[in-house]
Amino acid sequence: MTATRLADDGPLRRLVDGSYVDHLCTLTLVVVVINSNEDPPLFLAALAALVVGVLRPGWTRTPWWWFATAAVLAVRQISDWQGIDNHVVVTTYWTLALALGLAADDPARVLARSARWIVGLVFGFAVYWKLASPDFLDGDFFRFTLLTDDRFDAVARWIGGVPNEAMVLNEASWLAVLRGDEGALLVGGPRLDALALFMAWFAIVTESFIAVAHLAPLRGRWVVLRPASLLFFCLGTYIVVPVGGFGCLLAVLALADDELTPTWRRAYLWLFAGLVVYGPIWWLLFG
Amino acid sequence: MVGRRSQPSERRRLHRMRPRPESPGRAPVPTAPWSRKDRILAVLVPALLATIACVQIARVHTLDQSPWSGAGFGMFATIDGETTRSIHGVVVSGDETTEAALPENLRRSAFELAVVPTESATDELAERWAEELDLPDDAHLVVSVRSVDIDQDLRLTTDVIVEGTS
Repeated sequence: MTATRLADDGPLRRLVDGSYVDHLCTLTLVVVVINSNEDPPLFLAALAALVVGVLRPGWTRTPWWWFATAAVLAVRQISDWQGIDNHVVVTTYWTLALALGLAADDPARVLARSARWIVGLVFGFAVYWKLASPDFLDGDFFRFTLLTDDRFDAVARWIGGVPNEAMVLNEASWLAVLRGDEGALLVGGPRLDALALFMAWFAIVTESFIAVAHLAPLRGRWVVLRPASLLFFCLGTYIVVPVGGFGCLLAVLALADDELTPTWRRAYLWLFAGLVVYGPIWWLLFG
Repeated sequence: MVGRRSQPSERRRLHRMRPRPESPGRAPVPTAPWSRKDRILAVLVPALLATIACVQIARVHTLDQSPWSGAGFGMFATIDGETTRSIHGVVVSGDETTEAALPENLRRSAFELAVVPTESATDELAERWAEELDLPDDAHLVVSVRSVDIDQDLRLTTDVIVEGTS
Protein backbone atom coordinates (compact mmCIF):
# COMPACT_ATOMS: atom_id res chain seq x y z
CA MET A 1 0.00 0.00 0.00
CA THR A 2 1.46 3.34 -0.95
CA ALA A 3 0.65 6.53 0.83
CA THR A 4 -0.56 9.41 -1.24
CA ARG A 5 2.05 12.14 -1.27
CA LEU A 6 1.73 15.69 -2.36
CA ALA A 7 3.87 16.58 -5.35
CA ASP A 8 7.12 18.17 -4.16
CA ASP A 9 6.49 21.45 -5.93
CA GLY A 10 2.77 21.23 -6.64
CA PRO A 11 0.24 23.90 -5.66
CA LEU A 12 -1.11 21.88 -2.72
CA ARG A 13 2.38 21.33 -1.33
CA ARG A 14 3.14 25.06 -1.55
CA LEU A 15 -0.19 25.74 0.14
CA VAL A 16 0.42 23.33 3.03
CA ASP A 17 4.01 24.46 3.53
CA GLY A 18 3.17 28.16 3.61
CA SER A 19 3.45 30.39 6.65
CA TYR A 20 0.45 31.11 8.79
CA VAL A 21 -0.14 34.39 6.91
CA ASP A 22 -0.33 32.25 3.74
CA HIS A 23 -2.96 30.08 5.42
CA LEU A 24 -4.92 33.15 6.43
CA CYS A 25 -5.01 34.28 2.79
CA THR A 26 -6.18 30.87 1.59
CA LEU A 27 -8.85 30.52 4.28
CA THR A 28 -10.06 34.04 3.55
CA LEU A 29 -10.52 33.08 -0.09
CA VAL A 30 -12.81 30.27 1.10
CA VAL A 31 -14.70 32.65 3.41
CA VAL A 32 -15.28 35.08 0.55
CA VAL A 33 -16.76 32.24 -1.52
CA ILE A 34 -19.05 31.10 1.32
CA ASN A 35 -20.23 34.64 2.12
CA SER A 36 -20.92 35.49 -1.53
CA ASN A 37 -23.38 32.63 -2.00
CA GLU A 38 -26.43 34.90 -2.26
CA ASP A 39 -24.96 36.89 -5.16
CA PRO A 40 -24.39 34.47 -8.10
CA PRO A 41 -22.02 36.64 -10.21
CA LEU A 42 -19.95 37.50 -7.14
CA PHE A 43 -20.00 33.87 -6.02
CA LEU A 44 -18.59 32.73 -9.38
CA ALA A 45 -15.92 35.43 -9.28
CA ALA A 46 -14.98 34.41 -5.71
CA LEU A 47 -14.83 30.77 -6.78
CA ALA A 48 -12.51 31.69 -9.64
CA ALA A 49 -10.37 33.70 -7.23
CA LEU A 50 -10.16 30.66 -4.92
CA VAL A 51 -8.99 28.44 -7.79
CA VAL A 52 -6.39 31.03 -8.81
CA GLY A 53 -5.34 31.38 -5.17
CA VAL A 54 -4.74 27.64 -4.87
CA LEU A 55 -2.88 27.35 -8.16
CA ARG A 56 -0.89 30.57 -7.73
CA PRO A 57 -0.66 31.20 -3.97
CA GLY A 58 1.92 33.95 -4.47
CA TRP A 59 -0.61 36.17 -6.21
CA THR A 60 -2.88 36.23 -3.18
CA ARG A 61 -0.04 37.20 -0.84
CA THR A 62 0.12 40.71 -2.24
CA PRO A 63 -1.77 43.72 -0.85
CA TRP A 64 -3.08 44.51 -4.31
CA TRP A 65 -5.00 41.25 -4.58
CA TRP A 66 -6.85 42.04 -1.37
CA PHE A 67 -7.36 45.73 -2.18
CA ALA A 68 -9.01 44.59 -5.41
CA THR A 69 -11.09 41.98 -3.57
CA ALA A 70 -12.20 44.51 -0.95
CA ALA A 71 -13.07 47.04 -3.66
CA VAL A 72 -15.19 44.56 -5.64
CA LEU A 73 -17.01 43.38 -2.49
CA ALA A 74 -17.56 46.94 -1.27
CA VAL A 75 -18.97 48.14 -4.59
CA ARG A 76 -21.42 45.21 -4.69
CA GLN A 77 -22.45 45.73 -1.08
CA ILE A 78 -22.84 49.51 -1.28
CA SER A 79 -25.08 49.13 -4.33
CA ASP A 80 -27.31 46.73 -2.36
CA TRP A 81 -26.69 47.90 1.20
CA GLN A 82 -30.28 47.46 2.36
CA GLY A 83 -30.18 43.68 2.04
CA ILE A 84 -26.64 42.81 3.09
CA ASP A 85 -26.09 40.73 6.24
CA ASN A 86 -23.59 42.12 8.71
CA HIS A 87 -21.18 39.17 8.49
CA VAL A 88 -20.87 39.78 4.75
CA VAL A 89 -19.83 43.35 5.51
CA VAL A 90 -17.32 42.11 8.08
CA THR A 91 -15.87 39.84 5.39
CA THR A 92 -15.18 42.96 3.33
CA TYR A 93 -13.61 44.70 6.32
CA TRP A 94 -11.35 41.69 6.81
CA THR A 95 -10.22 41.61 3.16
CA LEU A 96 -9.31 45.30 3.49
CA ALA A 97 -7.47 44.55 6.73
CA LEU A 98 -5.56 41.79 4.91
CA ALA A 99 -4.56 44.26 2.20
CA LEU A 100 -3.30 46.76 4.75
CA GLY A 101 -1.65 44.07 6.85
CA LEU A 102 0.28 42.64 3.93
CA ALA A 103 1.57 46.15 3.17
CA ALA A 104 2.89 46.54 6.73
CA ASP A 105 6.46 46.18 7.99
CA ASP A 106 5.33 43.32 10.23
CA PRO A 107 2.26 41.76 8.55
CA ALA A 108 1.66 39.10 11.21
CA ARG A 109 1.49 41.57 14.06
CA VAL A 110 -0.66 44.10 12.18
CA LEU A 111 -3.10 41.40 11.04
CA ALA A 112 -3.33 40.02 14.56
CA ARG A 113 -4.19 43.41 16.04
CA SER A 114 -6.66 44.32 13.30
CA ALA A 115 -8.44 40.98 13.62
CA ARG A 116 -8.59 41.23 17.41
CA TRP A 117 -10.13 44.69 17.31
CA ILE A 118 -12.55 43.72 14.56
CA VAL A 119 -13.81 40.83 16.70
CA GLY A 120 -14.01 43.04 19.79
CA LEU A 121 -15.90 45.79 18.01
CA VAL A 122 -18.30 43.43 16.21
CA PHE A 123 -19.29 41.82 19.50
CA GLY A 124 -19.25 45.14 21.34
CA PHE A 125 -21.75 46.67 18.92
CA ALA A 126 -23.82 43.48 18.93
CA VAL A 127 -24.05 43.70 22.74
CA TYR A 128 -25.00 47.38 22.53
CA TRP A 129 -27.94 46.49 20.28
CA LYS A 130 -29.08 43.68 22.54
CA LEU A 131 -28.93 45.82 25.68
CA ALA A 132 -30.71 48.67 23.87
CA SER A 133 -33.59 46.42 22.79
CA PRO A 134 -36.19 45.83 25.53
CA ASP A 135 -37.73 43.02 23.47
CA PHE A 136 -34.39 41.19 23.53
CA LEU A 137 -33.85 41.56 27.28
CA ASP A 138 -37.29 40.23 28.24
CA GLY A 139 -37.06 37.23 25.88
CA ASP A 140 -39.72 38.46 23.44
CA PHE A 141 -37.27 38.45 20.54
CA PHE A 142 -36.45 34.77 20.90
CA ARG A 143 -40.07 33.83 21.69
CA PHE A 144 -41.02 35.42 18.38
CA THR A 145 -38.02 34.08 16.45
CA LEU A 146 -38.37 30.53 17.74
CA LEU A 147 -41.98 30.43 16.59
CA THR A 148 -41.65 32.15 13.20
CA ASP A 149 -38.10 31.63 11.87
CA ASP A 150 -37.66 28.22 10.26
CA ARG A 151 -33.93 28.19 11.12
CA PHE A 152 -34.99 27.80 14.77
CA ASP A 153 -37.74 25.31 14.02
CA ALA A 154 -35.90 22.24 15.34
CA VAL A 155 -34.84 24.04 18.56
CA ALA A 156 -38.38 25.27 19.20
CA ARG A 157 -39.83 21.80 18.75
CA TRP A 158 -37.15 19.69 20.46
CA ILE A 159 -36.11 21.95 23.33
CA GLY A 160 -39.02 24.39 23.61
CA GLY A 161 -41.58 21.61 23.37
CA VAL A 162 -43.65 23.34 20.70
CA PRO A 163 -45.83 20.71 18.98
CA ASN A 164 -45.35 20.17 15.24
CA GLU A 165 -48.92 21.18 14.43
CA ALA A 166 -48.46 24.40 16.41
CA MET A 167 -45.44 25.29 14.27
CA VAL A 168 -47.56 24.86 11.14
CA LEU A 169 -50.27 27.11 12.61
CA ASN A 170 -47.68 29.68 13.66
CA GLU A 171 -46.27 29.87 10.16
CA ALA A 172 -49.75 30.47 8.74
CA SER A 173 -50.53 33.12 11.38
CA TRP A 174 -47.27 34.93 10.73
CA LEU A 175 -47.83 34.93 6.97
CA ALA A 176 -51.33 36.34 7.52
CA VAL A 177 -49.88 39.23 9.54
CA LEU A 178 -47.34 39.93 6.82
CA ARG A 179 -50.19 39.96 4.27
CA GLY A 180 -52.27 42.47 6.19
CA ASP A 181 -53.93 40.97 9.26
CA GLU A 182 -53.56 43.36 12.18
CA GLY A 183 -52.91 40.65 14.73
CA ALA A 184 -52.62 36.92 15.38
CA LEU A 185 -52.05 34.52 18.24
CA LEU A 186 -49.04 32.20 18.16
CA VAL A 187 -48.92 28.85 19.93
CA GLY A 188 -45.96 28.10 22.21
CA GLY A 189 -44.71 25.14 24.19
CA PRO A 190 -44.07 24.27 27.85
CA ARG A 191 -40.40 25.30 27.84
CA LEU A 192 -40.55 28.14 25.31
CA ASP A 193 -40.29 31.02 27.81
CA ALA A 194 -37.34 29.51 29.67
CA LEU A 195 -35.59 28.67 26.40
CA ALA A 196 -36.10 32.19 25.03
CA LEU A 197 -34.73 33.81 28.17
CA PHE A 198 -31.78 31.41 28.30
CA MET A 199 -30.87 32.12 24.67
CA ALA A 200 -31.11 35.88 25.21
CA TRP A 201 -28.88 35.94 28.26
CA PHE A 202 -26.47 33.34 26.87
CA ALA A 203 -25.94 35.70 23.94
CA ILE A 204 -25.51 38.79 26.12
CA VAL A 205 -23.07 37.17 28.55
CA THR A 206 -20.92 35.37 25.99
CA GLU A 207 -20.84 38.26 23.53
CA SER A 208 -19.94 40.75 26.29
CA PHE A 209 -17.17 38.47 27.43
CA ILE A 210 -15.78 38.13 23.89
CA ALA A 211 -15.90 41.91 23.36
CA VAL A 212 -14.04 42.65 26.59
CA ALA A 213 -11.50 39.86 26.06
CA HIS A 214 -10.65 41.13 22.58
CA LEU A 215 -10.63 44.86 23.31
CA ALA A 216 -8.78 44.68 26.63
CA PRO A 217 -4.96 44.59 26.53
CA LEU A 218 -4.66 41.14 28.09
CA ARG A 219 -1.20 39.81 28.91
CA GLY A 220 0.35 36.44 29.79
CA ARG A 221 -1.93 33.52 30.46
CA TRP A 222 -5.03 35.72 30.26
CA VAL A 223 -4.79 35.89 26.46
CA VAL A 224 -6.21 32.37 26.35
CA LEU A 225 -9.60 33.94 27.16
CA ARG A 226 -9.80 35.23 23.58
CA PRO A 227 -9.69 31.97 21.62
CA ALA A 228 -11.53 30.13 24.41
CA SER A 229 -14.48 32.53 24.54
CA LEU A 230 -14.80 32.79 20.77
CA LEU A 231 -14.67 29.01 20.35
CA PHE A 232 -17.29 28.57 23.09
CA PHE A 233 -19.56 31.07 21.33
CA CYS A 234 -19.10 29.43 17.94
CA LEU A 235 -19.83 25.95 19.25
CA GLY A 236 -22.83 27.13 21.26
CA THR A 237 -24.28 29.21 18.46
CA TYR A 238 -23.56 27.48 15.20
CA ILE A 239 -24.65 24.05 16.37
CA VAL A 240 -28.10 25.58 16.88
CA VAL A 241 -28.14 27.95 13.90
CA PRO A 242 -26.08 26.80 10.93
CA VAL A 243 -24.85 30.25 9.84
CA GLY A 244 -21.53 28.80 8.72
CA GLY A 245 -20.39 31.90 6.85
CA PHE A 246 -20.09 33.97 10.00
CA GLY A 247 -18.57 31.08 11.95
CA CYS A 248 -15.87 30.52 9.31
CA LEU A 249 -15.07 34.23 9.27
CA LEU A 250 -14.74 34.27 13.07
CA ALA A 251 -12.45 31.23 12.87
CA VAL A 252 -10.20 33.07 10.39
CA LEU A 253 -10.15 36.17 12.59
CA ALA A 254 -9.18 34.00 15.56
CA LEU A 255 -6.47 32.31 13.49
CA ALA A 256 -5.01 35.73 12.69
CA ASP A 257 -3.71 35.90 16.26
CA ASP A 258 0.05 35.49 15.75
CA GLU A 259 0.51 34.26 19.33
CA LEU A 260 -2.08 31.51 19.08
CA THR A 261 -0.69 28.18 20.30
CA PRO A 262 -0.64 25.24 17.88
CA THR A 263 -3.40 23.55 19.92
CA TRP A 264 -5.77 26.49 19.52
CA ARG A 265 -4.76 26.83 15.89
CA ARG A 266 -5.71 23.20 15.27
CA ALA A 267 -8.99 23.69 17.15
CA TYR A 268 -9.93 26.63 14.95
CA LEU A 269 -8.93 24.81 11.77
CA TRP A 270 -11.20 21.96 12.81
CA LEU A 271 -13.96 24.44 13.58
CA PHE A 272 -13.52 26.01 10.16
CA ALA A 273 -13.66 22.65 8.39
CA GLY A 274 -16.58 21.52 10.55
CA LEU A 275 -18.63 24.61 9.78
CA VAL A 276 -18.02 24.28 6.05
CA VAL A 277 -19.56 20.79 6.02
CA TYR A 278 -22.00 21.22 8.93
CA GLY A 279 -24.30 23.75 7.27
CA PRO A 280 -25.39 21.55 4.36
CA ILE A 281 -25.69 18.49 6.63
CA TRP A 282 -27.84 20.47 9.12
CA TRP A 283 -30.23 21.58 6.40
CA LEU A 284 -30.40 18.03 5.09
CA LEU A 285 -31.30 16.66 8.54
CA PHE A 286 -33.36 19.43 10.12
CA GLY A 287 -34.04 22.05 7.48
CA MET B 1 21.91 -1.35 32.15
CA VAL B 2 18.66 0.33 32.85
CA GLY B 3 18.96 3.93 33.91
CA ARG B 4 17.31 5.25 37.02
CA ARG B 5 13.94 6.90 36.51
CA SER B 6 14.15 10.55 37.40
CA GLN B 7 11.91 11.89 40.14
CA PRO B 8 8.75 13.74 38.99
CA SER B 9 10.03 17.14 40.10
CA GLU B 10 13.28 16.58 38.25
CA ARG B 11 11.41 15.52 35.11
CA ARG B 12 9.40 18.75 35.24
CA ARG B 13 12.63 20.76 35.57
CA LEU B 14 14.19 18.97 32.60
CA HIS B 15 11.02 19.51 30.58
CA ARG B 16 11.16 23.23 31.29
CA MET B 17 14.83 23.37 30.26
CA ARG B 18 14.26 21.57 26.97
CA PRO B 19 14.13 24.05 24.11
CA ARG B 20 10.61 24.16 22.64
CA PRO B 21 10.55 23.03 19.04
CA GLU B 22 9.56 25.75 16.62
CA SER B 23 5.98 25.02 15.64
CA PRO B 24 5.47 25.03 11.91
CA GLY B 25 3.16 27.82 10.90
CA ARG B 26 3.65 29.77 14.08
CA ALA B 27 5.19 33.20 13.79
CA PRO B 28 7.85 34.17 16.32
CA VAL B 29 6.63 36.26 19.21
CA PRO B 30 7.21 39.89 18.22
CA THR B 31 9.65 41.84 20.31
CA ALA B 32 10.55 44.82 18.14
CA PRO B 33 8.67 48.05 18.83
CA TRP B 34 5.76 48.93 16.59
CA SER B 35 6.55 51.21 13.68
CA ARG B 36 4.32 54.26 13.25
CA LYS B 37 3.19 52.92 9.87
CA ASP B 38 2.13 49.58 11.36
CA ARG B 39 0.23 51.22 14.21
CA ILE B 40 -1.80 53.22 11.71
CA LEU B 41 -2.39 50.28 9.37
CA ALA B 42 -3.62 48.10 12.25
CA VAL B 43 -6.18 50.63 13.40
CA LEU B 44 -7.60 51.76 10.04
CA VAL B 45 -10.13 48.99 9.44
CA PRO B 46 -11.39 48.77 13.05
CA ALA B 47 -11.84 52.57 12.97
CA LEU B 48 -13.78 52.33 9.71
CA LEU B 49 -15.96 49.58 11.16
CA ALA B 50 -16.68 51.58 14.32
CA THR B 51 -17.47 54.75 12.37
CA ILE B 52 -19.94 53.04 10.05
CA ALA B 53 -21.54 51.16 12.96
CA CYS B 54 -22.03 54.48 14.83
CA VAL B 55 -23.55 56.09 11.72
CA GLN B 56 -25.91 53.11 11.48
CA ILE B 57 -27.01 53.58 15.11
CA ALA B 58 -27.65 57.27 14.45
CA ARG B 59 -29.67 56.46 11.32
CA VAL B 60 -31.80 53.93 13.20
CA HIS B 61 -32.65 56.53 15.83
CA THR B 62 -33.26 59.42 13.42
CA LEU B 63 -34.77 57.73 10.34
CA ASP B 64 -36.37 54.60 11.82
CA GLN B 65 -33.93 52.62 9.69
CA SER B 66 -34.10 48.89 10.31
CA PRO B 67 -31.61 47.94 13.06
CA TRP B 68 -30.83 44.78 11.07
CA SER B 69 -29.62 46.71 8.06
CA GLY B 70 -26.94 49.21 7.07
CA ALA B 71 -23.62 47.63 8.11
CA GLY B 72 -24.45 47.73 11.81
CA PHE B 73 -24.71 44.87 14.26
CA GLY B 74 -28.38 44.86 15.24
CA MET B 75 -29.20 41.56 13.60
CA PHE B 76 -30.82 39.08 15.98
CA ALA B 77 -31.18 41.82 18.60
CA THR B 78 -34.73 42.99 18.07
CA ILE B 79 -37.93 41.85 16.37
CA ASP B 80 -38.17 45.04 14.35
CA GLY B 81 -36.35 44.71 11.05
CA GLU B 82 -36.91 44.84 7.32
CA THR B 83 -38.09 41.23 7.22
CA THR B 84 -40.74 41.75 9.91
CA ARG B 85 -41.95 45.11 8.60
CA SER B 86 -44.73 44.90 6.04
CA ILE B 87 -46.00 47.31 3.41
CA HIS B 88 -49.74 47.67 2.84
CA GLY B 89 -51.69 49.60 0.24
CA VAL B 90 -55.36 50.54 0.54
CA VAL B 91 -57.34 52.22 -2.23
CA VAL B 92 -59.71 54.81 -0.77
CA SER B 93 -62.64 55.89 -2.91
CA GLY B 94 -65.33 57.83 -1.07
CA ASP B 95 -66.28 55.72 1.93
CA GLU B 96 -64.98 52.51 0.39
CA THR B 97 -61.59 51.00 1.05
CA THR B 98 -60.03 48.11 -0.86
CA GLU B 99 -56.76 46.28 -0.20
CA ALA B 100 -54.33 46.66 -3.12
CA ALA B 101 -51.76 44.06 -4.08
CA LEU B 102 -48.20 45.30 -4.48
CA PRO B 103 -47.14 45.24 -8.17
CA GLU B 104 -44.20 42.95 -8.87
CA ASN B 105 -42.06 45.78 -10.29
CA LEU B 106 -42.35 47.75 -7.03
CA ARG B 107 -41.16 44.95 -4.75
CA ARG B 108 -37.61 46.28 -4.56
CA SER B 109 -38.82 49.80 -3.76
CA ALA B 110 -41.14 48.41 -1.10
CA PHE B 111 -38.25 46.51 0.46
CA GLU B 112 -36.10 49.64 0.49
CA LEU B 113 -39.00 51.51 2.13
CA ALA B 114 -39.21 48.83 4.82
CA VAL B 115 -35.50 49.38 5.52
CA VAL B 116 -35.76 53.18 5.69
CA PRO B 117 -39.44 54.16 6.13
CA THR B 118 -39.34 57.92 5.63
CA GLU B 119 -42.49 59.94 4.86
CA SER B 120 -41.14 61.16 1.53
CA ALA B 121 -40.23 57.63 0.41
CA THR B 122 -43.69 56.39 1.46
CA ASP B 123 -45.43 59.14 -0.54
CA GLU B 124 -43.20 58.36 -3.52
CA LEU B 125 -44.05 54.66 -3.39
CA ALA B 126 -47.75 55.52 -3.04
CA GLU B 127 -47.56 57.68 -6.19
CA ARG B 128 -45.85 54.98 -8.23
CA TRP B 129 -48.19 52.29 -6.88
CA ALA B 130 -51.25 54.40 -7.71
CA GLU B 131 -49.94 54.94 -11.26
CA GLU B 132 -49.64 51.19 -11.71
CA LEU B 133 -53.23 50.73 -10.51
CA ASP B 134 -54.47 53.49 -12.84
CA LEU B 135 -56.90 54.80 -10.21
CA PRO B 136 -59.91 56.99 -11.09
CA ASP B 137 -59.68 60.69 -10.19
CA ASP B 138 -61.82 60.39 -7.04
CA ALA B 139 -59.66 57.59 -5.57
CA HIS B 140 -56.31 57.65 -3.87
CA LEU B 141 -53.93 55.09 -2.39
CA VAL B 142 -52.82 55.02 1.23
CA VAL B 143 -49.55 53.17 1.83
CA SER B 144 -48.48 52.19 5.33
CA VAL B 145 -45.35 50.58 6.74
CA ARG B 146 -46.10 48.40 9.75
CA SER B 147 -43.94 46.81 12.39
CA VAL B 148 -44.89 43.81 14.50
CA ASP B 149 -44.67 43.16 18.22
CA ILE B 150 -45.39 40.19 20.47
CA ASP B 151 -46.75 40.18 24.03
CA GLN B 152 -46.37 37.71 26.90
CA ASP B 153 -49.42 35.75 25.66
CA LEU B 154 -47.73 35.31 22.24
CA ARG B 155 -50.22 37.71 20.63
CA LEU B 156 -48.83 39.46 17.57
CA THR B 157 -49.88 43.07 17.06
CA THR B 158 -48.96 45.51 14.32
CA ASP B 159 -48.19 49.18 14.55
CA VAL B 160 -48.03 51.76 11.76
CA ILE B 161 -44.54 53.31 11.52
CA VAL B 162 -45.33 55.71 8.70
CA GLU B 163 -48.16 56.37 6.25
CA GLY B 164 -48.19 58.08 2.85
CA THR B 165 -50.78 58.88 0.19
CA SER B 166 -50.79 59.23 -3.55
